[in-house]
Amino acid sequence: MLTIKGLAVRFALGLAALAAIPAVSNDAAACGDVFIPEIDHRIQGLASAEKTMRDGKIVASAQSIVRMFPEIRSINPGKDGMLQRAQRTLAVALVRTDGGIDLDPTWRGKTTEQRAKNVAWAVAALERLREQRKNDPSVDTDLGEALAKVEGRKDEARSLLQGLADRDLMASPQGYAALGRLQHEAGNTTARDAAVQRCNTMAKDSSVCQVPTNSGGQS
Amino acid sequence: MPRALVLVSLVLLLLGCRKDERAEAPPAAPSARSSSTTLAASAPSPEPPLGDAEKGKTLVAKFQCNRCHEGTGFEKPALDQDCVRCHQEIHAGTYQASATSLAKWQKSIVHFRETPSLANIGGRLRRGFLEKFLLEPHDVRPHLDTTMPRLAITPEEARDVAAWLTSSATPAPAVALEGASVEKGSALFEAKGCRQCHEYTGAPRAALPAGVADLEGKGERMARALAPDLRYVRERMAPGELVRWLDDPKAQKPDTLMPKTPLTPDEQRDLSAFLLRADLAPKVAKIIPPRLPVLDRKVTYDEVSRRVFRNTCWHCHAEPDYAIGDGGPGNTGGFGYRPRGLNLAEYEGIQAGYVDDKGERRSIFSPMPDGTPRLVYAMLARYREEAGQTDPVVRGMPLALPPVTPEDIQLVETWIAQGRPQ
Ligand code: HEC
Ligand code: HEC
Ligand code: HEC
Ligand code: HEC
Repeated sequence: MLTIKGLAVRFALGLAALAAIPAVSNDAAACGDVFIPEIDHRIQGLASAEKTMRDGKIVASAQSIVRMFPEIRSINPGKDGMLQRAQRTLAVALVRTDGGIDLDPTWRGKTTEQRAKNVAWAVAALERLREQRKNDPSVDTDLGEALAKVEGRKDEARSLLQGLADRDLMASPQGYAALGRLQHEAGNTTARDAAVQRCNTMAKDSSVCQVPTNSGGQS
Repeated sequence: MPRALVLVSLVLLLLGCRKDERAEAPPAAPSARSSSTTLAASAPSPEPPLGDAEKGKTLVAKFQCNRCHEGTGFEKPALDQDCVRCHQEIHAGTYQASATSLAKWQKSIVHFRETPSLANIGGRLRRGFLEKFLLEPHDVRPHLDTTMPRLAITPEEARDVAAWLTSSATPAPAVALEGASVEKGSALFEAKGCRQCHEYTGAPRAALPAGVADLEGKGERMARALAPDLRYVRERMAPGELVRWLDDPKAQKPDTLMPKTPLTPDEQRDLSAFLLRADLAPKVAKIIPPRLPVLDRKVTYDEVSRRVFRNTCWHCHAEPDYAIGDGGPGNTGGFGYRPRGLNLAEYEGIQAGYVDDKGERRSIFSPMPDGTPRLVYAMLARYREEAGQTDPVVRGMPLALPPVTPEDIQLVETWIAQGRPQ
């Protein structure tokens, strides 16, 4: 049986299955014509969870990750790439649903309190990942999107995301949307409109770019 | 100058010698420079000063030459690091994977299936050539799509590596080509079927003799792929090494795919004269195709990813998450390149840019001085590199592989112009 530790194998280029580990016998190609290593069902499962998420089925994606990695909630992935990635995907899913996913009987997302707790978990996971992956704008973008949902950390989120936008390093349309909302709340309509426009050119589904436009916002 | 003189006289002294006579340097005879210009042409230009072979050895480890070459003096790396062996095992069907996957990959993998081994390379190639080649590699093998990458190597390092690669070689006895006939060599070249594997560009293309199979597009892929264009022999080999090679390739390199062709010493010299001295048409530079205008239709990430990023780039610019840190040489580093942090495997990675020489993150869409986005510029630079115009700033991409087609570059450019939609 493959333990977490047994997975500490090195993949070439993030794609290689190793002769040292008996390959599982099902097909490697799980995702279109993309090469996925034949090494652990969970790598393929994770890749397909990510695809589910890209297709907009956020809840289904999060739930499949928890099914595959029941320990995911309490684990510290350290340098384990696959676990880092599983946590990250789950964290982003929780952020995008405002914490509102029922993950398992002990991990709910119904009440305001449960949701806030879920977002806080996501922020913690992304902050831990950022420690491992310093200077990676794609992690910074996810973290900024998450912080934008936490009262008391919105200024931090805004400057993180605006910094990325200024250097043209925002990794996702959702990052621009979060920045648009933050700038709206801060009464910064020019910056808001610029962010929303970038979101709209990038996003496959422009519903992710919805930002209030009534002038003045909450400020 | 004095050295050239010594060589000339040496050659003269050896006139008419049999090829297996040792050229234990006889005392330089006083200038007997009566002879022709063809003679001067065959006298190799002097080798550059010798570098530090021990340093060269550590550099071969640093540049991870063994991930692409055998015969480096280092063990083969682990399979997951070995670009060539893994692809070969997949093609041989010995790689551990399901039959369906193997069949699929066998269809898609065409590159990095073969590279020349460097075993006893100093027994064939001149040190000066190796040094120059490491600094400015060019395509030597017309039937091999993969090329030697332009490494991040300094002139001094190249000198040391060349010293290491040649340190254990035994020099061949010097050979005189006086009296050898280019014309006879040319006829032999045709009669012996050398063209079955070799191009000799610049010389009239030899016919294949009756009974010699045309390997073009057929099996025997390796031997043909690895056979150099012989127009470079004059830069690469000295006459002694050349004759020794023609006499018995396997004696110089047991794993070579060049068969031994029975040749008399005179025939060896005639062939050598043909390879070293035949008049050649000037080298035809590879064509740089015109850049195509941006398309009118909508181009999405899925399309550019499928056609370009996931098709070609991804293998070196991978997502490091799954990989316990190894995102390929274009992301987490390798082959002596600094880690550029460039992940071309997914949308978010591409938006997240690369790490520049100062360690700063920068967008790969940032305009170059001529306004071209850096990503596109790198792909165009590959065409220029192949045509012999090395770009001082950006390395041509895809590294060591044929350029991306103009149509695919057009697609990427269109996608960028449209704001990089998902
Ligand atoms: C452990 C095995 C393995 C190793 C090591 C490996 N590859 Fe591959 N490579 C593959 C497989 C499998 C494919 C086919 C993927 C597919 O079709 O989905 C592939 C495909 C490719 C392709 C695209 C197909 C082609 O021929 O153009 C390139 C380019 C490539 N690899 C380059 C490299 C380079 C460069 C290295 C070394 C840095 C490397 N590979 C190391 C397994 C490997
Ligand atoms: C990414 C793979 C790769 C790496 C890394 C690499 N090479 Fe190469 N090298 C090649 C390929 C492919 C060729 C064949 C090119 C051709 O013939 O056109 C080649 C050709 C050569 C040749 C010419 C050999 C001949 O017989 O023509 C030499 C010498 C050489 N490489 C030395 C080195 C050294 C030394 C290093 C490390 C410092 C190195 N290479 C690293 C791929 C690589
Ligand atoms: C079956 C294919 C094949 C045939 C036929 C063949 N060669 Fe070769 N030859 C090769 C290969 C492969 C190499 C590369 C050697 C290596 O690195 O292992 C080579 C290398 C050479 C070299 C060294 C060139 C260099 O730049 O390194 C010379 C010279 C040469 N061949 C001449 C000839 C001549 C002359 C003939 C005909 C008598 C001939 N070859 C027939 C495959 C062939
Ligand atoms: C064989 C491995 C390999 C392949 C295939 C490859 N790259 Fe790279 N790439 C590298 C390496 C190594 C570097 C770092 C080079 C350096 O430090 O100069 C790099 C750097 C880059 C850079 C940054 C260059 C700069 O100096 O700004 C860009 C842009 C890039 N690659 C684009 C691509 C694209 C686009 C493709 C596919 C069409 C591709 N690469 C395919 C290995 C590769």
